[in-house]
Amino acid sequence: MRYFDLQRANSYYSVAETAELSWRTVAHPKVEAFSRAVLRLSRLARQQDDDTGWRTFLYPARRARNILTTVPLPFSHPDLGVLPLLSQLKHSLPSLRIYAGDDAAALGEAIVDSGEELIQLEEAPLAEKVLELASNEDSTDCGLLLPIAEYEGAVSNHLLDRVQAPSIRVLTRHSVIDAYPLARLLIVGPLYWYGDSQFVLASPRARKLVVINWAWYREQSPSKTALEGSRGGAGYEIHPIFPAARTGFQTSIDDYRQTVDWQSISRDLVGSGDSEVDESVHARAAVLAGRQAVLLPEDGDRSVWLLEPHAPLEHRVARVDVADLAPGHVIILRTSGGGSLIAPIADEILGDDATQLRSLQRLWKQSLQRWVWRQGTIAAAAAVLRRTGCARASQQNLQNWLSERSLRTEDPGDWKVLMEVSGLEPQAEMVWRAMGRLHRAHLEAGMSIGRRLREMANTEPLDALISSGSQVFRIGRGASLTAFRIEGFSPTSVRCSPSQLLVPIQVRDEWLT
Amino acid sequence: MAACHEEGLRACAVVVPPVRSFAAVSAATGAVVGVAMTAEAVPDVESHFRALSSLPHGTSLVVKMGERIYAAKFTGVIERSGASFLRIEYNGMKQLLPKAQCRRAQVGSGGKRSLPKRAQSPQNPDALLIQRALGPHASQFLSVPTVDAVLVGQLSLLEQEITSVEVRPVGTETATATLVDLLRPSRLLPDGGIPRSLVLSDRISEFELPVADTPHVVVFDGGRAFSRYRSEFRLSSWIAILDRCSPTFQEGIDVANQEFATRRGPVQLFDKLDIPSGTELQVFERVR
Repeated sequence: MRYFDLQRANSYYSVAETAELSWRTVAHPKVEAFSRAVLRLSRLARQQDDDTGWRTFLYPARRARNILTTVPLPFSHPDLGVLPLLSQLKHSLPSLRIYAGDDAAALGEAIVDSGEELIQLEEAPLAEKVLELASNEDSTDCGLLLPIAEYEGAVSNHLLDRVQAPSIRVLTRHSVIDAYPLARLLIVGPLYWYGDSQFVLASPRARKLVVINWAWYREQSPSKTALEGSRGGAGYEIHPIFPAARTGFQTSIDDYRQTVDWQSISRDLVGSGDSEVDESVHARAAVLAGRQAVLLPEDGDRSVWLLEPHAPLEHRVARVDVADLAPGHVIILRTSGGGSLIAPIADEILGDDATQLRSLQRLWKQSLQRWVWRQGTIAAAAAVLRRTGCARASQQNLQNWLSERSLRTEDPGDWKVLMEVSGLEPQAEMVWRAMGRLHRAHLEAGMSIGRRLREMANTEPLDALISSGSQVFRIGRGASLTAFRIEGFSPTSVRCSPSQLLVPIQVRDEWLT
Repeated sequence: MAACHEEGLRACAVVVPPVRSFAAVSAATGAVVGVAMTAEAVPDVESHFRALSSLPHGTSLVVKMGERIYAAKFTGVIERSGASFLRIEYNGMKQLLPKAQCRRAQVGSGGKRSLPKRAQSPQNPDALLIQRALGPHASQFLSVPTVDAVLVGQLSLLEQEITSVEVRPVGTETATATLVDLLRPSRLLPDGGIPRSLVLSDRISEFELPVADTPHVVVFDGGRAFSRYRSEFRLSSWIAILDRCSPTFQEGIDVANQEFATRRGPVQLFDKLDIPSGTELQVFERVR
């Protein structure tokens, strides 16, 4: 949600009253053959109780199909990134035959053959349709909405390079929200690509909305209401008429699979890290702009830096709970060095003393961890601690104390018990004071980072962030931070080592279909 | 809606506009003004006395004495000659307030220290705005701290909308004031200002009303606020503004349809209201 002044808000109301929605179709026999093969394999996979063995082929195939049918670039354009997907498909054909049988393998071969044939072509039927529609309009005030955000820059450059190309503003579902009302918005369809972004239609940003669909897509007429028993609704009019269904090959929303393979992404994120069960924490995977993914903590310290590029200066950077994050929010992560932003800056503040203080931190955590292991389980250890007088020793708190992100207990009485069981009773007071110093340094570091982030967010242009969903900020001494837009969250949580939290990694293409 | 709430109706209005800007702030301001003009301001003596009696000693009160408002502290309850009195301290004095007059006291902070002893000049833009908007209810509006409306949402956004737009009474050309003067949220008023509403962040887990009161209307700005905070205000009427562009839009729609499915019945509150094009409205009586 962002601030719009009254004038801008009024302009959106004005457009909402008068918007017209229409469809245009585009056809290409080779794209159709490729799409048909992917769809048939997809339908075949859905007949299986367990399609695990199919996924390594099916997911990259769907992604290749999605790219080729939604990105208005020539099929041979290197930025499409379809060639590596096809190589992977070719490589996976033998395993598809083993897991799925000959029929599936035959479809797999058809997908590879038709895909390879396609990417040799210089043709760009979608881009041609966009240019044709844009040039038909007297006004140059035209936008193009892409369903896959990461191609915004490449498509924009391609359209600019075209001779006599009219000015077309390339937008994504994130950037269209802030667009001033346009005369015309070309939407690369079908509309079910925007199922989670209802505003594209219901809060239009143009007086004329034109959906460009491949001829074999069959759409339902979009609903104007979302609430039961309501009055009113979205204000657009369908004009001239809703397109008639085509005979022959058709696909519909029932065939739509914009699946992110969360299981594989989570597995990649957790990887072979040090995930001893007793020190693991709950985390949730999130996909970020730029094909990155990250594990966000669900236990313990769950705060992250949030950057709101459109907020007023004083509110642009804030520390928030990850529970409050939603797709579209921008978070700031450390992209050089480890995942924690605070600890390295705190160590800078502590200077030469940092090494000794960190070794004391490791000492008490390792000693406590050894004792916990001897108790068998976290639950058993927490129960013993409670009986011994550590009143706050819940399983959750004990896991927090074992994690790298905590420094000491809040209560000195709890601390005393932890030191006793860990065999550190003689050093308890000294380590408590040392952790107090670390704690103060962490607080100071947090404020310092906040200041630096605010300075950067308030002084540096954020165009890259707004257009591509990510932007790197250099914070000196070779360290960098990157602001990433969140594209989605995994529906399930995983367990991971605390060191794996907040560390972004590149996601393999095939997991984003 | 504020007036119907006074009659015992617990309504819910869910509004889906093309863009949320200023919708929640406008609705909350309307609720504050509506309550001030229509609601019975004084609570039941027995229940109010009971509520005050149970307060911890030292609780801050606002007490109206004559035409003046004082910041006071509650120091207990005593019985004399079979009658009950509230013991309060204000302006350096100890005072016994008879039970029958207990409605002069409200829980809250504020009072004389920051209030002018004389009525504000009608030339003052904010006073003029209040006077024009509330007519004969204007003086009461600035004398009793209440929480007639609660506005829940993204704090930075709401504060910007509340403070950035200037409004003026019909018929004046130059005198302007901000919505703070009508909405009167405690967090945006100067120290001691008399609040009529509360603006809450949809990200906090705990909050406290500045005045012991049941808000007539709670305005939820966005799906997150609606989803998380509606259970905190079961006794109030609700207005939810669901922004189509927000990631929590569908969450808000699901909550609205869930509440609608268990509604008590229809409400004719807004039947004659013209809905702006592009806006969807769902209104019903809630189950209490």
